[in-house]
Amino acid sequence: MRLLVHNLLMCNKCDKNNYPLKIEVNKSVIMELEFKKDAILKLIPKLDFEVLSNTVRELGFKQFPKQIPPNVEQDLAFLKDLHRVLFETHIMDGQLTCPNPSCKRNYPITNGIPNMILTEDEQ
Amino acid sequence: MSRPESQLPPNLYYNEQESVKYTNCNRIINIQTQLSERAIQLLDLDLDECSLVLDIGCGSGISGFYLTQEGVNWVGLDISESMLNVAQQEKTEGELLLCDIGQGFKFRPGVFDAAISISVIQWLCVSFKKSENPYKRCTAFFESLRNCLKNNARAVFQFYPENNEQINMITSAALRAGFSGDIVVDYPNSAKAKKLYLVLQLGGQSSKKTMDVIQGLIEESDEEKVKVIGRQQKKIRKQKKQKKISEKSKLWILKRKEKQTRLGRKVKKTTKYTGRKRNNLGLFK
Repeated sequence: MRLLVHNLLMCNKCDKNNYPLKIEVNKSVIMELEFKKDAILKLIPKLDFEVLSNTVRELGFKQFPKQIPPNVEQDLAFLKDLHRVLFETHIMDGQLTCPNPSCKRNYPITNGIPNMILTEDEQ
Repeated sequence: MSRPESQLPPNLYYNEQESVKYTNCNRIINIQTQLSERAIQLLDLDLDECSLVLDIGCGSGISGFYLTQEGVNWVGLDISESMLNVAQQEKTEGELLLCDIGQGFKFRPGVFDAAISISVIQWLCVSFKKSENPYKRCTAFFESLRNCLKNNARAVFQFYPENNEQINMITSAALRAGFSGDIVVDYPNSAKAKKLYLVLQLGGQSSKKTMDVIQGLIEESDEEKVKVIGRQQKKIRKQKKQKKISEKSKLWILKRKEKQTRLGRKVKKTTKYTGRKRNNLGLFK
């Protein structure tokens, strides 16, 4: 799982206070991917940047900016950091937890793929 | 060959063995590739604006590969762990999620610019467990999809419905969720090549209460086939018009005798006793 999908995903079970899911990482790996400036620029409006920034900082990358810098199209350093965080950092093992205190449902991540399937009772 | 949908639920059908076979079989890859290309064509993406697409039933990533080629980021959902593992191995550039679309799924509202699905949604119409209600699953799926698509987003689903009931179940669920759209049929006159695409739009003409079936691609040779089928149907209709003569009746006997005479065989003379009603006396049944 990469942080792009984490930025979009909500808890499947509850309706309120179900975003963002808390990440617990057991194993992560960096896999390089070709940097495409246009693709990343197109994606920026889709991101909840505050959530992304908080998540990235919690996972250890303290230097990541809290806000999108002005003149982002020219800020290549920022775009490359964003690319690394969104596309190159793979969480291979861990879990996602719903932030809703009355839910707290755990979604395990195995082989880099989060399991969002609910049991029969939960539906 | 029976349909996969009648054999096992999809997460069991697409097990490790089947997933590997699926990914290595050239015939399947070719078909899925053609379907993906056609679906992307029907999506009519504005590549300057489009940045995120949802691939429903992404499997081993065949359709996702074409989305990546178009420069579009995608998130793939699939119920088969084995298929997703294959996609992971192939280092697909999309995001992968293990998910049962019939349960519904939740993403931030309006994040996706479009949705694509190849050979998947007919699975929603079959249930293997008592607790699974196809109607509810179709409803949950289309409602979830509506929530995560942006306004005016388009969704294209190539699917294999078994019968009209399945088509109705799917289209009515889509309409209930607020989509409008049509079913596009490619190569309608070829049993083998015929393919159905459900093309949906969110917002737009919300006043439309039904979906039309419109003709998509048609091969040149299909026009010849239409002529031949026309002639055959004429022949069948003519045969039906001729009333069926009941066996052993006098008329039937006379026709048989006429036929035998034409064939040059010895036939007894027709008299007033030919085919007369006989009193069975209970001797012959």
